[in-house]
This record gives sequence, C-alpha cells and structure tokens, in this order.
Amino acid sequence: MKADKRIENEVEKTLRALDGIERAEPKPFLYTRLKARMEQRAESKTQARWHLRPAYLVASLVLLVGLNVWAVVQYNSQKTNAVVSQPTIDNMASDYGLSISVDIQ
Amino acid sequence: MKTEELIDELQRGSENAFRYLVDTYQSRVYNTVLTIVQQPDDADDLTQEVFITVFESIRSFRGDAQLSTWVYRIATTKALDAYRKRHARKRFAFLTSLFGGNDDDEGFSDHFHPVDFEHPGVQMERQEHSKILFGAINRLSDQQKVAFTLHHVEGLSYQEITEVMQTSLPSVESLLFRAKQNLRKQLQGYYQRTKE
Repeated sequence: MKADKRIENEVEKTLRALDGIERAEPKPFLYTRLKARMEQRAESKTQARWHLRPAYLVASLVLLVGLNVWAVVQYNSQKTNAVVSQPTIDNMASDYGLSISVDIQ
Repeated sequence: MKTEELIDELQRGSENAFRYLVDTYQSRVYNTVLTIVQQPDDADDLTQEVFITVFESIRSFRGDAQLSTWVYRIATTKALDAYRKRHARKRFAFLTSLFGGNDDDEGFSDHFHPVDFEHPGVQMERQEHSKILFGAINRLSDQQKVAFTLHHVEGLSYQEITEVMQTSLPSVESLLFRAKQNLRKQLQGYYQRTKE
C-alpha cells in the first residue's frame, strides 16, 4: 500500500518533469553552417548536371545517330558477303563429302 | 518584419528574409526536432534540412496556413521520418547481430528507447525524472508524440496543434488524453519494475 503510493508519487513527479521547460537552442552559427551546406549542395547539383547542357546533349545525339547509321551499313554489307560466300560453302561441303544426296528410285 | 512581407520577400529569394526566418524560427524548429529524435547532432542536422526545405518550397506556400504552422509541420514530418529510419536501421542491426535474441518490446529501458536523453531546457532538479519521461514519450505513437511535444515542450495551444497536424480539435484533445494515459501506464510499469 505504502509502496503503491510511492510509485504514484514518482509517476506524478515524472509527468510534471517538463513543467517550466525552456526551449533548447541549436549550436551557434546555424545560419553560417546552413548557407555552407546549401552552397555545397548547389555546387554538386551543377556538377552532376553537366551532361544536361545543350552542347553535350547534341553531341551525344549525333554520336548515337552515327553509331546507328554505321551499324546499319555494316549489317547490309555483311548480308551481301553472306550471299556471295554461299556457293563456296557448298563446294567445300562436296569436297569433303559432306553434301547430302537423296536418291529416289 | 510582418509575416506577409516576410513571405513575399522569401518568395522573391531574398537572402535577408531567409536569414531573418532562420534567426526567428531556429530555436522552435530545433527544440521540436530534438524532442522527437532525442539526439542533439541529428537535431542540428535536421534543423538545417527543415530550413532548406522551407527555402526550396516557399514558392508553393499559398498562405492558407500560418508560416509558423507550416514550418512546424515540415519539422515534425522530417523528425518522425528520421527517427523511423534510425530505428529501422538499429532494429535490423540488432536482429542480425543477435539473431533470436531477447527483443523485449515491453521492456522500458531497452536498446531502442534508452532513458538517457537530457533536454537542456529542463530545470536541473527535474532532469532525472525528465529522462525517464522522455524515454516513455519515445514509445508513444507518432501522432501522440507530435501532439504531446507541440503542447508540452513547445507550448502550442490545441488550436495551433490542429493546424500543424491538419486535424480537428476533438482529435487533438483525444490524442493528448491518450498520450497522457499511455505515459502514466508506462511509468507505473517502469517504477514497479525498478522497485522489484
């Protein structure tokens, strides 16, 4: 009984612990630190965005189109070579006796 | 400087206005986030983040709320996010290091809610009790924690809290009532255990 009263007393005291509390203040020169952080952030943003400048964008676009044109040209020339080389493969196959002949009687 | 004037200047990107805003609101923001995160270094960091957010989004501020209310809203949201992130990390680290360990959520003085936070604004003779109270505040739900902090630590009226939390007056009253009930229950448990 006595112990319960003591506990209640402690609970009440604890609940009143914030009476008369004053505001906590941040460390000095918050504004200076804040400005430094904002400048640093702005700097890293511009550094990160260099590739978004028009000159870089146009250059990358030209490079991309160039690569595509080159790839198409290469593909077409390979196709022509493949057609030309077809008989050579057949000749080679018959030379080595690899050609399949089907006799229908 | 009048608030409307300050908002206008801020929206025009005036550095003087921003400095004035920081000087005027820094202790309110710091005090609020410190009570929620209970870590002075994190609170300092978060205070700066709050002002950066204010600076970056002031153009979208339409004046439908008071400037102070808006700043408090950003501060409490950021503080709760930071608190959740830190605790999610801690919880994960705890599980990996002590897999299957005794994570006693009902315990009062555990790894996640240590009772060692000293708020510098508390009166000296109340410091020991306040540490225990802050440990208990930490265990309240987010909404109760915010309402309790704004009312008992920042001294905001119920009406001001409704604006910060964008809720009704009965909700705020209920939040504060339940917060007090929960704190009382926790503290009774704590003192029972320490007596044993």
